[in-house]
This record gives sequence, C-alpha cells and structure tokens, in this order.
Amino acid sequence: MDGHILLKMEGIAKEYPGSLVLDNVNFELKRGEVHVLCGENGAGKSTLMRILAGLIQPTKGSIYIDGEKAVFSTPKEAEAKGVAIIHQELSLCPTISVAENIFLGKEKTKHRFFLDKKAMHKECEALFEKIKCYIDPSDNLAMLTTADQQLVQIAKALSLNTKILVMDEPFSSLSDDEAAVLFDIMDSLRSHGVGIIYIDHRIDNFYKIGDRVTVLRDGKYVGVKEIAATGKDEIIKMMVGRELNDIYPKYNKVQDEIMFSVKNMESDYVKDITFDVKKGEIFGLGGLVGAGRTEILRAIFGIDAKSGTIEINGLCVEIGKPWDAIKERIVYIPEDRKRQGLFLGRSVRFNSSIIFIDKLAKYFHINRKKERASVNKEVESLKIKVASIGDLVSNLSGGNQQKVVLSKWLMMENINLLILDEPTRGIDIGAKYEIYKLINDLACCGIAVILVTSDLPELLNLTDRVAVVRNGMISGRLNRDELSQESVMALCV
Amino acid sequence: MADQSSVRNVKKFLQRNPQVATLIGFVGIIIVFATLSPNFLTANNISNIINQSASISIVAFGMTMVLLTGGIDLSIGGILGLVCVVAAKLFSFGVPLPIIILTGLAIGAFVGFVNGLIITQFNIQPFLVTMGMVSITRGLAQYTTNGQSIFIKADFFRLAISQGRLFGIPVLLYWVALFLVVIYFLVSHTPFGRRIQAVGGNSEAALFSGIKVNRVKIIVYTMSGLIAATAGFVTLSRLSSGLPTVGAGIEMDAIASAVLGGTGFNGEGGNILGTVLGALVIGTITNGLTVLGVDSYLQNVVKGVIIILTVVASVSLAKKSER
Repeated sequence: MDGHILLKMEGIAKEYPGSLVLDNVNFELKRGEVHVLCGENGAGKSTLMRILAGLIQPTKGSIYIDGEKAVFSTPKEAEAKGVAIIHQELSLCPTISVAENIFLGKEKTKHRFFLDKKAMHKECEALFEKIKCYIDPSDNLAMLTTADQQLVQIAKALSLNTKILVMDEPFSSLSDDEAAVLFDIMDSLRSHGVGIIYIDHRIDNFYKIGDRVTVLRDGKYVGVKEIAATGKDEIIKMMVGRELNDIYPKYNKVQDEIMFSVKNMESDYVKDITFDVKKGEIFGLGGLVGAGRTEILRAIFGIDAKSGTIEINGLCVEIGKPWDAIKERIVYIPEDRKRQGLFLGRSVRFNSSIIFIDKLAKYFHINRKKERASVNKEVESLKIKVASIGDLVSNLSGGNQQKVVLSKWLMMENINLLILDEPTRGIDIGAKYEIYKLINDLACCGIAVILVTSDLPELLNLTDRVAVVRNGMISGRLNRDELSQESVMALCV
Repeated sequence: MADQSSVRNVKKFLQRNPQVATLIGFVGIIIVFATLSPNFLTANNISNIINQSASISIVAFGMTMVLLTGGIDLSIGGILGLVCVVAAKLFSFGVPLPIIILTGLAIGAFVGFVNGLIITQFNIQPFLVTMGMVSITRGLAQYTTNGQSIFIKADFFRLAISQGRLFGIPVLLYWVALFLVVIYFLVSHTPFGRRIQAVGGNSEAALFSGIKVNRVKIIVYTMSGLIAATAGFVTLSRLSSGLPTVGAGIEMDAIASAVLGGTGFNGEGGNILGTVLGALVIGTITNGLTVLGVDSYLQNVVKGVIIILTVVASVSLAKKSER
C-alpha cells in the first residue's frame, strides 16, 4: 500500500420511490489495499457496489478514479476504468471451456472468423500463473469445483487489467482449505497493486486479510476503521447499533408440553440437528444467509432426504415427503414465495384452496360454492386486498401475495407446527406488522412456530428461544433473556 | 378516459379468455370459405366438418391435459397407428371384439405409462421421451403389418364406433360428447384436475403444497395414451383398414386445437370447451381448403402458418398482461 487513492466515492445517495436505500455514503480505496465493506443484510453494500459497477446510477454523489471524476452510465464504462466485480452467484457460463469463459465477448481470432484457441489458452495459462493456480483452460467450466470456478472469475477479472476488484462474499461456498488458497491470491493481488473491495459477513475473515473496514447500516455510512486496531466487538456494534422501535407485537404464551422435536437430523446439507419447540412457542433459527437454516426446514418438511427422528406430541413420526408432513399437520411457508409458494398464473381462489381441495369435494366433485365461501372467509380474515377472489395472484402486491400463501395453509385445521422461512422478506411495513400479529395469534392457539429470518430485529423481538446455525450445524442456543444482536452475531460469525 | 378504460377491460377480458379471439377467428374463417365456395355451407359439408373435428377433438382432450401439466405428448400419433394395426390384425385372426378393445386400450395405457415413468423418474424433457416413443410405436406398427395395410370386415364395430347413426346423429359424436363431458368434469371440477393445473402452473410450489407431482404426471400421460388408443379404434372403424402410417401428424392437430382453445405451454389455460372450439377451427380449415381444391401438401403449409400466428398472438397477449 503506497497511499495512492484509487477510488473515492463521496456522498453517494440512492433513492427509489418511497425509500432511501443509500444516504450520503463515503468510501475510499487505496492502491494495494484490501478494504472490507460490511453491514447487515439490507445495509446497502450491494447497492453501493452496483453503483460502482455502473449497473445503477446514484441519485446524488460522485465517484473519483485516480483523482479524476468518473461517471459510469453502463457496466462497460466501469470495466474500461478497471473496475471488475466477482458476484456472489457465479456469472460464468457452465457449458463452455474455461478459456472461452475468460475471453467471452472478446475472443481472439485468426483470419477474422476463426477462434485462435492456441493464443487464448496461452494467455489463460499466463493469467493462472499470476495467481499461482493450475487449471486446464480447455476444461469445461462445469467440471471445476466451486472454488476453482471462483479462481476463473478472478482470472477473468485480471484479464481486463483490473485495478479495482470487488469480491462479493467470495468465501460463502468455500471450504477452509479452499478459502486459504483464495486468501493467498488476494494477498498476491494486493502486492501487485490491485485494490480489493471485499464483502463478507464473517468477521474472523476480516482479520485474516483486511486492511480497513467501512461499515454501513440501514443505508448510512457508519465509519471506517483500521482493522488491526479495532476489536471484533466494536465492529459488531457498528454494524447492529440501531434503535429498535415498537413494531413487534409479542403476546404469545409458551406452554409446558413439547409439541415438536427433532433429534440428530442429518441431510446432505445439515448435520446433528437437535431441538424442540413447545406448544405456543415461537422458536427462531438464526444465522447468516447460506448457513443452512432453510436446509433444516426443507429436511423437516420432507423436501430433502434425511435421517434422524422427528416427534410430534411425543409420538415418533416418519416424514419422507411433503405430503407426509402435511398429514402430520405441519405447515411450511417457503422462503421464495413466487417460486415455491404460488401459482402465479392462477387466481386467488385456486391458490388458496389447493391444499384444502379434497375437503371441498364430494364424490370427486368440487363444491364451488363452498370453495368460494371458505376462500372469501380467509381473504377477509387475513385482510387480503383483492377486487375478487378471481383475481390472478400475479397482479397482487408482495404483501398480499404472502398473505395468499398463508391463507392456503391456514385453511388446515388443528395445525401442529408452523414453519416460516423469511415470511416478511420484501414486503412493506404494514403487511409485516399484520404477519407478526398473525404469528402471535397462531402461537396463542397452541401451535408451535419455527421462524427463520435474516432480519435480526425481527428474530430478537418475536422469538422465545433461538438456535443459531453456522455451516449446517447449530453453533449455539440462546434463551430470550440472553438474546441480543451481539450475542446472535457472535454465534453467526 | 371512459374509452380508455373500456378498451383496457376488453383487453383484460381477452387475456383471460383467449378462446374468444379464436371464436372471432372461427367466424371469420367460415365467412371467408363460405364466400369463396358455394359448396362450403351445405348440410352435407357441415356434417363432414363436424366429423373431421370430432376425431381431432378426442386426442386434443388428452393433449390439453398433458399441456396442463407443463408437458407435451408427441407420441399420440404413434400410439394411434400401433393400436389401429394391432386391432386390425386381431380382427383378421377372428379374436372377439371385447378382447380386441381391451388389448388396444392396454397398449395405449402402457405406452403412456412408460412415457410418464421415464419423464418423471429420469427427469427428462417430455418432448424428447415422447419423440423417441413415436419411433418405437411406428416401428412396431410397421413390423406388425410388414408395412402393409390390413383390411377388416367388422360391420358392428364400424357402425358402433363411427359409421352408424343414432336418432339421425353420427355415433361418433356421442363418443366425443362422452369424452368431452368426462374430461371437462375431470379437469375443471375435481381435486385431481386442480392438481393437474397446479403441477403445470408451478411444479415446485405443487411439491411444497404436498401434491404428488410425479404421480399426477404419470397418470396424465397414461390417460393420454389411453385416449390415443381410443382414437386408434375410431380411425380403424372409419377406414375399415389398419394402416401403420395413420395418425401421422395428428399430434400437431391436437396441440394446435388445445393452443387455439387457450391452453399454453406453461400450464396455463386448460378450458376443455376451448379445445373443442380449437378442434372445430382446425377441422374447418382442413375441410375448407379441401373444398376449395387447395393442394393437400399446401394445406399443411396454411395450417402451420395459422398455428404459428396463434402462438405469437397468445405469447404477446401474455407479455402484455405481465406489464
């Protein structure tokens, strides 16, 4: 690091109709520096990086590269100034070779029309040499491990003469050994004078590679620190130190009997999962995105194959497939409502009644009058805003769509266990509040509730107990009186 | 303003009921043919049109169900041909009629079941599996008859399936009506019909809703095979001979009928009455072009153009409704 400032972002703001996503954010990157950008989910990290990459335009603020003011109206312009982003999800094409991926869109040719494979392979090898890894450029990308695919992305970025490299959670899908290789590569890039902006949730990693850290919270700039001189606690405090207000109703009563328990459950993604939920209890699963929370729910519900025992009301039950779970009166509100929860091309009526449909039929014939009546009742009690239940769900707002997903399950009687995976993601505050109340109401009826949410305040305020998941295992348990942002965060990272 | 909103309402109505556009097109086609040929709207020709549409509509019902699951069944023509020649062969051996019928239906159901099994267990694109099945069934049909056609003498069979009349109405129409009622009821009024629509609408959400997605698909492909076998008997009774090449291209007519009737390739629509309308349009076009003396090869060209135009229209309607 020689103190030369590669990048300066000043007073960046981004406003979408009705919400200020970034508010007066500053960021600075020196040559040969690894600068960590951190904050909770939704703090604005990705938005800031999207602005840097020219994918979106800031409402206010300016960007300087090497001291010169720069305006990126397209990703190409950012690329030309030496900015490259390695995304969370791989942005490579799996069906073609490594070399073809690296030279995608700028292939080398001979005689104008023919690919010059030799030249491309040679250049690839030189790039891999630079980051000291050994990948055959003619391999199909799909044959490589996730870690090697990451390296190909880095090589691709280097082929563009990148000065500023953004790495968005590069370690999230890597094992420790693979991560160590990546740290080495980051270190060598640093010594070559590349500035690296690095986004991660795991604070321990910051100390392994980072020089400075900039913290964002709720779209606002909190501060910048030298990592070596800053304690982990201090960084956590900067990340989560927000005031909580009273949008979280809580009036459920935990009963003594255990409604649901899972012992030593193991699937391809999680292992050694043991916990129980009492009647009327709201049990939270905390952890970072990708830690394995959803995978635990999928295994319980019979989407993923698993081993281990599940008991409901003290009785051992077999749940091999979702319909077994439904038979045990387990309800699962999945995380991706559009992909997993809704039939978007169909009406509210169709969506709401699909699970209940056998009960509405007699001699194979659906009693439409009865169907309409029960759906209407549900729509009314959940306050779903529709002109009629014949409306297509694709025309509803996110909050109303989520309520439709809820409605299809709530027609079930005597629910034992309600599993909610990110029930309030992407919906407005009013609908959130109604869903919080609904969760409480259901718990008051004696239903056991498992809640997975990435919204930390939601987790802290709604749940009675929390188990934190890390790397597919439970890393710790917290009772309500032990719950705090710091205590949960400490178990996450 | 009032005009704009009423225009929007009309658009919305058309998006929800794409069959209405087909209905308007149908009337248009009839007017065109009627003006071009005085022989088109005669009682005799109208009965021809109905007969033609009836045979198409039976397989189109099966296709509508398959499309509703988000799949496609290209093998129905092959099944039809195979059942047709096997039945003809059995007739020539003097096998009793009930056994012939049962054997034919069993062949259709079995082929359909195998389609469904391969599609679900190996998770393969339905069009690939059923395309392979076309080759298998056609090959078997050719092999059975050594490529020849087999003439049958079975008056009762011929009369009972298609050639006879009851109360002055062709028997075939009763059969079509029976299929229409049963399948319409199944798709639109039973829990199983709802599950078919759910699987096609979003198979992942269907699984999350506890629907046995694979089982639903296997049942639907089996039914499609069964219906194709029925169509094989209809064809045999109309031609009085088992020809290994019959039914070639009928899957196109079936798909076109279903699509014209408002059923799409992503599990949307599914109105069986719409499919009847679609089959009428296809039958009318085929008949009208014949009446006008258009070359039979060129007829295929015209039919293809109409199908593509319909798909383009329905896709652009769907896109507009997304906005």
